[in-house]
Amino acid sequence: MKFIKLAVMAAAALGYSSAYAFHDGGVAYCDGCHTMHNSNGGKAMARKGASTQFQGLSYLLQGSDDSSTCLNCHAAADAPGKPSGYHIMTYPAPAVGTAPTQRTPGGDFAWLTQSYSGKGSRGQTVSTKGERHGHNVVALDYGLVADATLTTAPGGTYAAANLSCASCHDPHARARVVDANGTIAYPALGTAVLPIGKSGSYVGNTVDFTEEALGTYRFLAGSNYSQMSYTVPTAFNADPPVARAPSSYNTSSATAGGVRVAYGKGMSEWCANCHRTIHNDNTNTANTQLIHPAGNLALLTAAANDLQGNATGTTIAAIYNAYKKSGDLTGTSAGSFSSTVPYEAGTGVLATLDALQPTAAGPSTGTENVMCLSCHRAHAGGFNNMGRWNLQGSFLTADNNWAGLDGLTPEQVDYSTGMPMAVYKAAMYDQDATNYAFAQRNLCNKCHAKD
Amino acid sequence: MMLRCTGRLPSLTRIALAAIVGLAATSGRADVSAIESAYLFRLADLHGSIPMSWPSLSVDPTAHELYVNDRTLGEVRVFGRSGMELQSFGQDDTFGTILGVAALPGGDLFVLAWTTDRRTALVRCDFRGEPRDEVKLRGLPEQFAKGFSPGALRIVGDRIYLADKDGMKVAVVDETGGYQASYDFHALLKVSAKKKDDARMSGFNVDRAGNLLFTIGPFFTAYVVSPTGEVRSFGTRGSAPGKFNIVGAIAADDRGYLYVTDILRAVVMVFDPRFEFLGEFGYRGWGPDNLIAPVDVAVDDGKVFVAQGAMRGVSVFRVSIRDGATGGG
Repeated sequence: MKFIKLAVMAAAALGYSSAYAFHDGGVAYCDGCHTMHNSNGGKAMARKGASTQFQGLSYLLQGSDDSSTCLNCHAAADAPGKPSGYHIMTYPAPAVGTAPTQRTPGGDFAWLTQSYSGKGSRGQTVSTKGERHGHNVVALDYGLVADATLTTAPGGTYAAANLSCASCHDPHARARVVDANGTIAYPALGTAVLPIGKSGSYVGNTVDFTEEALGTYRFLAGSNYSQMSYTVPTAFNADPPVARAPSSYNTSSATAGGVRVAYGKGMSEWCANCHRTIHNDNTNTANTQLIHPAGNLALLTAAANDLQGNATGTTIAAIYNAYKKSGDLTGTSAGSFSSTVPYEAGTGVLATLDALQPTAAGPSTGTENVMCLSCHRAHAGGFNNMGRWNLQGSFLTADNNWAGLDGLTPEQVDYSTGMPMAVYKAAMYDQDATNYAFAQRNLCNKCHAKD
Repeated sequence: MMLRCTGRLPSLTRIALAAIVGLAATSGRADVSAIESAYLFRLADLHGSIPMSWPSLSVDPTAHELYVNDRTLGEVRVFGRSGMELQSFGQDDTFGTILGVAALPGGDLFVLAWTTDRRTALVRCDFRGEPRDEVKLRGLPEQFAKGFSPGALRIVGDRIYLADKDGMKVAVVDETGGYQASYDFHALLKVSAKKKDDARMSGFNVDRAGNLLFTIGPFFTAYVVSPTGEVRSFGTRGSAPGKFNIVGAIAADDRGYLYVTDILRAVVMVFDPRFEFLGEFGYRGWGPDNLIAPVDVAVDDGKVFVAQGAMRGVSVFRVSIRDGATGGG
């Protein structure tokens, strides 16, 4: 009997629901983040300014602010070269000259603290500014401050001073996926929707949709989302996107393919909740808006120059599949996917995305589309404009190596953006430069092949 | 074998256990006054308190010195009993990125570092932090060594403990790098493949008896593994006193009392050697006795050292436990 009891207890030790245990795919447990009375054990749980026992912090949060609450778990002092789990910020942020550790698809917020500057081969300044590396969420406990330059969202009016994790992620997870096609639904007064059973972010996670729903991808907020801490100036009008990631998403890769997130649909439309007028989903068929399209209708089947005299002789998808590196267009759709230049599959069908995620297959169905994250990282990266690569430079590599201020050739120095070569490589998610051309030009060419 | 206080069980068993746990919790609450904490000071140099965020801590129980690894500046600061900085080393990038530092009883130091050529190195140094030799690990079992990448370092007596917190492995070697023992916590805890991604050590330490102490944040659990591999664990998720919300570091004093930080609740909890909750101190705030995101804890010479975020540096407390003795070794 004693043995059985011990065995039961041993089994119980690991009997929690899986990964992602804190959030449980949705709103989590209330006192995980909040304190009801700011009192526990006869003492104040949190004190700030005049806040004492029975007088809590704003929104009854345990943390100092929205984002600091999140980063209590999602920041970590992981060793260099060892990104881990659900960590989206290296903290303490490493000194300039040492790259942040985390390699999630969204990036590492510690890049916001890293500005680089140096002199190029002709004495010109080469630099990149931390503030321009990502979304400047405010997290005072973690040294993250508001964007001092872009004080409202480009293309919108969302105030930079109010930008927090909860600006994009709904910690209460109101939106949910209610069927295998990725349909989004919301609870509302007078209606009934399925309860969230588990996270919808991960490949293979599913539920019986007659009983339960899945959480949205990274519980991104949906239509009519509004934080208690900030009244969104322009109401969200788009559903959260559908996407599926592997559980081992926070890893780097020496190869160009990298870790694939199977983006489904709706990412750009969702970004436009805050960046509305910057967004062109290609519904403007006359293209009089004259800005780069991104969205569900910005299909990779769009006509493109076939490089043989026919201005519309091929498609963006065909170029994406053929492009391997500057000058080399010998690729095929079977292995053309690049996590540095991802795209959406153009579907919300979960099984389709789950099948696509582990592959390196390129666009083939005609439904694929370009999205904001094709070029930008959602959190932060090493390059200006939140670029997945140096959007502003002609070259990424020179003399068969990454650019770097400590490079041996003038070209390596001139395209370094002030970073040492090791940091530049980290900003490229540790890919080997030899995956690319001896002199690799900007990765806009993955879709356009102008090089 | 693993013993544990709470968990997910068949309903009848769960109810029965809940009653027991409830009683235990009641007992814990009654014992909240079992500790008394007093804030003493923050670690300082001649210019005053030193602002640091999330440094890692290591105690030299022989010299009663504290080693503070400030990763932002890439240096190790050494503090004496008074809490004043005695010396520092590592600023010149000699080691690369210092992951951990610990002292041998004779005064020599071991530094675990991530080198500029992207590999982990264990370096023996003199007491000033001047490198002497790189110590190569020898004799690790082949299966264990596969993928082993230590990121944390502790020394107890002449045994050097190297922990791969992500890989959930600990290797024990002697001063020459010779293999002594190894522990694979994934195997010992029988972690399922589905949960392996979350099964990472948040905090890691070793007590004076050689028990391995660690926490796993997403499991809301602290573990004590004996040198022979017996696993005991404790912890209940929640934000009430004594519960784990985002559990962080763990350390033990000479008498086996355990000190566990909760990063979100911003407290240090004290448990007796039977895992009975005795009380907690800190709480989020900007007062001198408050804490912000306490990520590491060390105990020595009657003092409890707490490393925090928000450039709050390291706060030092004296903790008294009700039986009249003073905690903190």
